[in-house]
Amino acid sequence: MLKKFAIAAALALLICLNRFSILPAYITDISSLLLVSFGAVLPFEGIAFFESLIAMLPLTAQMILFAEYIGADISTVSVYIFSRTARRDKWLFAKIAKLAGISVLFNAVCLAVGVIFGLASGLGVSAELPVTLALLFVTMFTWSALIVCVIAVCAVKIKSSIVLSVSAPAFMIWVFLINFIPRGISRWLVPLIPISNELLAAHSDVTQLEFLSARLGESSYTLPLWWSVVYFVICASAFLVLSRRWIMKTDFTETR
Amino acid sequence: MKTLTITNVCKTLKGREVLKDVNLSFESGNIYGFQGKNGSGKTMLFRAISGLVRIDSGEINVFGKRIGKDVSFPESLGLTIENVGLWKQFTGAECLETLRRVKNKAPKTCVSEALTRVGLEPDDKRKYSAYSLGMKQKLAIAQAIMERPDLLILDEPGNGLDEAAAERLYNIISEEKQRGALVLISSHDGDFLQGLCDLTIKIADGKICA
Repeated sequence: MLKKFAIAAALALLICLNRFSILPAYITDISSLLLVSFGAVLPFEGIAFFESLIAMLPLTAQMILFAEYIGADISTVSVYIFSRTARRDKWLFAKIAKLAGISVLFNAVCLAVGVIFGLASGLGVSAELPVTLALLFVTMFTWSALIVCVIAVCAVKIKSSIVLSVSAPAFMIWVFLINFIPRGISRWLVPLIPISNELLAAHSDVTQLEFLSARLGESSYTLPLWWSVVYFVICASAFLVLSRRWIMKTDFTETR
Repeated sequence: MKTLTITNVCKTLKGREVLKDVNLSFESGNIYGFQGKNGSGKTMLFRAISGLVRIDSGEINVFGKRIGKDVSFPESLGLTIENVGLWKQFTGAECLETLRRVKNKAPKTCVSEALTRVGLEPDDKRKYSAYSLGMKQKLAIAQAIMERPDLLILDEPGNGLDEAAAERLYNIISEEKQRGALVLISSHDGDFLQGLCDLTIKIADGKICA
């Protein structure tokens, strides 16, 4: 697992370096670099398909790693584990919690790479860097956690390679297509925007982010913050109920 | 005396009836052998008793608790199922220690004791992926017996074992019986079962024949 994680981190590093290699003129500090590089603005600028794919690669790497990790347990030793634990659901959720922890580390590494690259490129460190890091971390981690959890549960029943071969392209296509959905609809599909706005609004006096803040604010109208919370509570509840039902009723009849 | 009873158990998988109205009763301190061809329903019956598959109708009661209702699996169970592997990146001792931690009730020493009993070296640094078929089978048996379960279900435990290892297995099963465990075992080898078991049950097309 650690070896694979290291490979994925190295891959993420290469991806990040590739993305950071082109620095538009308006990027003068590390905060701007991170916001542009990690998709805080790009999804609303009609970006190209290739750029969308590149932006999604760190998340895809996580999906592959996690699905394989949990798939390996399920495929090889589910019989021995489930004959020892009365609560399959508890075991699965503990696994997911562990994966979420690794996801935190993974996203932290991705952001750290950006900061290090920014420093090495001579970009300035502005006062809003902590806010930017928090904003991006919340955004990246929440998406990662949600998607990784879905993948993990799917991998219980379906071979992880099949889950991945369907879900990874589907997710990438969704991210790409969301650029073409009218903003009135897409804002309801991207519930993290209110959180981003709140964070940015709290630091509206920061001049370096004026350009990016304006783009974010313009594209998301004014969704209330509570919508983000409600959205994720609904998603998480539905996910937990369905996955519990699934794992408890699954027949382990074959070795996969 | 602890008992395990199977009453009118039926199970259909993909339109095929794999268990047909199975009725059986077992008592602890005995060894029961199951003999039948591949696909006859032995493994499916073992999985049903273990709570790994849900039965369509009937009841399975293990030591007074109904599987799927009172408990989702027998509370004190040691199990080996044919063709099920362990973590290929771990050594044998690491695999067993990981499984021991699921319940975390048996002492840590049970891992090395179980490995020694089946004839594996507790300090062997080889990964599971480098194990031979016979070593993998021994490790599967070790994980089944290491927590001293009240119910021991062994599905084709002799597969891949050489003569000496088969004899060791014979002794282990006899010791488990002496300890008071209820042992259910399946094998293609009728002679092995005849010499070991208190009762041999024949199963064909999901039905108990004798």
